[in-house]
Amino acid sequence: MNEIPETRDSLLLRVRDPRDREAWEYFTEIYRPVAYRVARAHGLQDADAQDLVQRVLISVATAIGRWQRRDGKARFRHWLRRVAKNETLKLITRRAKDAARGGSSAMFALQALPSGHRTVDEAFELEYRRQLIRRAGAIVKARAEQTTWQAFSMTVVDGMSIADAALELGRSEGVIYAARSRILRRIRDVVRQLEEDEQ
Amino acid sequence: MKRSIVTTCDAIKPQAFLNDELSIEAEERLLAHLESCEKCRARLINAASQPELSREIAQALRDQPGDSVALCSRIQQQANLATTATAQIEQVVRLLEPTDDPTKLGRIGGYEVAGVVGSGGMGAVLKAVDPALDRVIAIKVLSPHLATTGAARKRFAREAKAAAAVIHPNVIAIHSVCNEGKLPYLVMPYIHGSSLQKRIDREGALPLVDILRVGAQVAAGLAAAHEQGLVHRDIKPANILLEEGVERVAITDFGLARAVDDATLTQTGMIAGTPQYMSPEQARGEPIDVRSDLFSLGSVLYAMCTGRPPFRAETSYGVLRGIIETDPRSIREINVDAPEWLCEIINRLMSKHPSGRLESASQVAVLLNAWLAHLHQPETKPAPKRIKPVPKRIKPAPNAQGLQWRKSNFLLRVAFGAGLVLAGLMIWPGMDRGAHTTGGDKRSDVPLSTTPAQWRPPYIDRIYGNYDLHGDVRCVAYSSDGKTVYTAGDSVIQVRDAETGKLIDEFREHFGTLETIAVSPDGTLLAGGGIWGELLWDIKSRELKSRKLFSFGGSDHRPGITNVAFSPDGKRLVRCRRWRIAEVLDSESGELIKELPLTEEGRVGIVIPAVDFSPSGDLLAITGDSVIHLFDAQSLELIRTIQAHQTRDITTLEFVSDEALLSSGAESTEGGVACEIKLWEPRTGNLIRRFDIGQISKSPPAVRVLPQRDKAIAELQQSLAVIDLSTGTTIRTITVDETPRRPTSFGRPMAYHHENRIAVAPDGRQIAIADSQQLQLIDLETGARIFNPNSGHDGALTGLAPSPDGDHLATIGEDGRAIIWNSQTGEFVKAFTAAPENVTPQHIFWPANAGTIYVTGKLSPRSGSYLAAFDAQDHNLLFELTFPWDIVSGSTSLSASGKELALVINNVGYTRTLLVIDAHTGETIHELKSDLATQATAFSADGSCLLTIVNDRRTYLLNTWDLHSEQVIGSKQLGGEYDLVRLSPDGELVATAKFSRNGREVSIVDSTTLVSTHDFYLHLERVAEASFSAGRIITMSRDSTDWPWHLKNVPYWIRLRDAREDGVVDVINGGFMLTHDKHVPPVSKLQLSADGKRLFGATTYGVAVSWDMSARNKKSADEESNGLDATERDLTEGDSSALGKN
Repeated sequence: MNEIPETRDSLLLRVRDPRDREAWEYFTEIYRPVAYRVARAHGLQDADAQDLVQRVLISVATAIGRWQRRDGKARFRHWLRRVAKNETLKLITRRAKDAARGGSSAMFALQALPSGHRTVDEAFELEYRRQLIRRAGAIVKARAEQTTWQAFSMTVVDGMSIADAALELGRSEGVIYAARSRILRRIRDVVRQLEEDEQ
Repeated sequence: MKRSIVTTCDAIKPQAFLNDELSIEAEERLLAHLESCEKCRARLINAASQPELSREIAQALRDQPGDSVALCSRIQQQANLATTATAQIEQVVRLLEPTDDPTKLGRIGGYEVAGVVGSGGMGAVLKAVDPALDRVIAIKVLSPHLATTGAARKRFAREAKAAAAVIHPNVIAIHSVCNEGKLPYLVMPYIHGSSLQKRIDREGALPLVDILRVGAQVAAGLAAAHEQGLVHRDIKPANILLEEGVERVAITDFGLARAVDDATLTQTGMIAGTPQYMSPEQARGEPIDVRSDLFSLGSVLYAMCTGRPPFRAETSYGVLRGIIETDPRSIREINVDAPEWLCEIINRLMSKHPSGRLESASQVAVLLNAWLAHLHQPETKPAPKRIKPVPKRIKPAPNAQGLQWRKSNFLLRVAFGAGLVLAGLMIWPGMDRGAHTTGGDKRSDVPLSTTPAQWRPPYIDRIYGNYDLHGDVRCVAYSSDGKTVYTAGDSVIQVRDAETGKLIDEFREHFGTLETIAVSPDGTLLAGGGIWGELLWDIKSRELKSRKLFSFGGSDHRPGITNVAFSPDGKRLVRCRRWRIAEVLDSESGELIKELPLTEEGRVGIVIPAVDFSPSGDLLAITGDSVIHLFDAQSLELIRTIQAHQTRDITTLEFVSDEALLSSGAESTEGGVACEIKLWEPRTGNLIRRFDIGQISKSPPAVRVLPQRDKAIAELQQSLAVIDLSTGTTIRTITVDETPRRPTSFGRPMAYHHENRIAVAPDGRQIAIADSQQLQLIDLETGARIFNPNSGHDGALTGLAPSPDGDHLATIGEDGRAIIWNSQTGEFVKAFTAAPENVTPQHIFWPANAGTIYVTGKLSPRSGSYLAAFDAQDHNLLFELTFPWDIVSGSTSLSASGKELALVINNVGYTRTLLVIDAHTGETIHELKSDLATQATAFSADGSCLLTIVNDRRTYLLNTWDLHSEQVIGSKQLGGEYDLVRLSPDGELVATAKFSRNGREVSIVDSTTLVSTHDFYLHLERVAEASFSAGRIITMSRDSTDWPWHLKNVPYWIRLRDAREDGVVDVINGGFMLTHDKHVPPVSKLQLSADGKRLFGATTYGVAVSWDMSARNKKSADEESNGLDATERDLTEGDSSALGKN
């Protein structure tokens, strides 16, 4: 049950071959939204954020050729994440100096800022973790029965009461509780496994 | 005896249950027990995951708009961004009253809040229980920041009460309105379902029946409200709810837009929400009536037909301008399936002037219902009468250059609510080339593209480099007679003569980057596909038979094509898509015949690397990772699978004959890539032969069977190996590319399916290799390169410099080469290596009086920078220097005597080193340390002082260094908050660009007196580039944001002004290039030749271009300049009047 083909190291290693689309896509699937959200949270407009994401990906793609298995401990994933983070950090901080903003864009940007202003580093880690969870969610969802997933999604994600969800899905409350717990547990397990690959 | 169903708590084992270790009976007992036992429910929940983690999971998944697969759509949905939504929800939840019920979030009024449904422009929607009636309700809470003033709250309550009076099945009822307490709110029934917006995001364009059904119901709901004189003001897909299970549609938020507008205006001076569905009169801030809703209804119908809103731009402001000034792209261009009659209705609804629209919402409802009935029962229900089109707007005739200038309405005031003038002045160019390349509304009657061969952008008269080859070529195919070779890249297909490589025809239409193309055996059809689109092209008539584009949404909506192949009789077409989907289509009609079942074995990959028909057309082979699937090509039944390469992925699959099938498998190893070739007997699945190609250090080789059938060719690193298939030995090796190519940013990271890059001519005498920007045609007998346009740069251009005498242009690219071109003819003169392998070049600098060309670059992989000087005559290296830190971009300047060169090195933090070196030997003359971020330098006329522009946190300073004493002797404040600051080469002028209310203000200041010589407000968006060149100031900005995106033309406008006097010299549409990414300016590094006669620009496609300014001025004297002058005059007048009034 817990075997997740997408987490195999070999797949990610293949990112090194820039022509390997599948591996590259896996990589971008994780990092594209992370970099995008971090950029947006730091006040970049949509266009600029997308531009930044593109540049992060290009930088990482060029950096990938430099990775060597110097010692067994430096896992490729870990290395990749560091490069992606540094690149995002660099682009955001570097950009900030020359960017003037005002008028409507500044207003929207201010409204968009989260209350507790996070550093790029923290934001990256947070978004990365969330992205892992989303990915885990997607993996579990693909393998779960539809109603089981719905029971989880309605009650945990959408905040519906157990009773309402039971009514909605035409199942008993016990079933809803069980389904919800099971999905939560599976997501937790997959997140752990994804994380273990990092260490 | 019947066993008791009551189970004790002790018998419940949550961990075992979660680990799937319980028997079915035990599981049933547990479920039954959970029905009643609160304690065990909690035990189970806690065992599943720690509460913090559960919260984190809920949070992460809640922030996830759309399908996890459709990342791009997620990026698109900026409105749903977690940061704002979450912050808003948190704020609302914090203000709820406490509750006794632990399962609830809090209380508002008498209602127990159970959860948050969502949040939008005006506030959050909560799900709550009405304890009195014991029903689930939805509560819309006005966002706290909107609820601050009494007037806003009263307004909210009044509008909501008016809306509550509308009782109609297609309008959400309002149970009650509360204006007391901390948060004003409305109570509405809770509807389980999702908004139309979500459905469009998920599915893209809707089926016709659904468009009509939803459209008719919305129209009916609107009609009911309009009867009471109530205008909705904010009809958009997000405000239209689709009830789950029932086919009922309900409009929400009646009249609230107005209340919210008022509140936001008072609060922030800004309007809330997305204006994409506003009517033109609303966008202008004019009084509106019910007909405004009809326009918005038209926009919603448009969105349902196309999957996206009619007017799109990056800023709200750009959207508003689009709504007022432009017609949206024709629906049938985006969705060919949309019927003409529906487009007519939508066009009428979206008439710019209210009087041009259909009469009423009820008329729309009747009309759409009648069409719906007709579709269901064409026999009994006649089709309604067609709608007459809106009288066409009168457009000025295009002038000789194909540019249209609208000569009225230059001063456009976008006013919101209480007389707030938001902006602006603009000139609005017409559709430029878009008008004739895509035809207008009547697209169905004309071929999609009438673009002639060798299409050239307007005005540009010189191109330096291989513009012929569209960037990023990924696939190549020969016609069956071998006379023609087709290549495809980003939205371009090129047709070349296989003998000479000469371009015969070119076809440009938006379909994204193609990964694969195939020509039908009779040579009439070309099928192509990529991640973003697929198409079937009639080669002879140049007509697009079909096209499908990726639409944001689920996996069903993405072309994601990786391979196409025609059957030998040309009747069928196999299409492979990502996620291992293989489909057989009728190549004439394009209809799906069957999706082929692929086995689950070894199912890891999402890409099908190869597909081929046997020569007789009886068999069809498709790979999937390490497995070959063999199908009967007629019945499409799976005959067998062959486990072909065990651990290796199959990269090539091709029939040698009906009796032999070749596959190649590759595996990444420590040393590179190991590759083997196997030959199979397709009827039996038996292995005939196996041989190794050996270790290749780069990527898996593409293998192609030669038509003689006894040999195959393998592309190894920079060479081709001809392999004898009977022995497996390499007979011959052909060198493909003798110039070692360094990796460039161009397409490389994303280049996917490399086997498609190689094609063998049907007679087996030639091979075509398409790689990034190169196409090579190689004679297999002699190994001679027939066509290899390798005279330009490989990869992006990083800099350019006109020679001081104006005869030449020097360019430098990331391939490390500098190229000298004849600036008049565009001819290649000479290339020389300007940077060693470990340097990525950045700038080239060819100053007037030094006789030297300077090149700067970045060191890689370690940090640092590089400076080299070359003799301008023989291009010999004079000196080269490396620095541990970066050279500040654009900081180089030369003294008037030509003896000293100044540059700035960016140490860490804010400190900078200003270096003055000998311009010919590179020896350091002065080394000045500055604590401030120095950005630009210029020598004083006598060379005694060095002027620098310094950015001290937010303020810019102009500092003067005395070079004798090496001290700063003067420092002047320039001000702050600029987008950019530029210093003229002689140090006499400073140009600044910043945002002001009237647009981007560019100001020229005398550096001695700091008196502004002139200011102008011509750019509406951020000034992307500004440079002093030949006595002019050149600025470039994306002035208009809404543009036919399928052409990918970025409407950047370049403006040239005299640097010393006020007055426009020229305006050029710089948005001519097909760019890969619309956020990258199409041209950059703008420079004028010393005599001002030629303007040069670098493009993202690795070529430089130039405009002949003198020819332009002469040509435009009669026709264009009048228009331009008038434009500029109006603008200047507009400037002062707008300023005067505010």
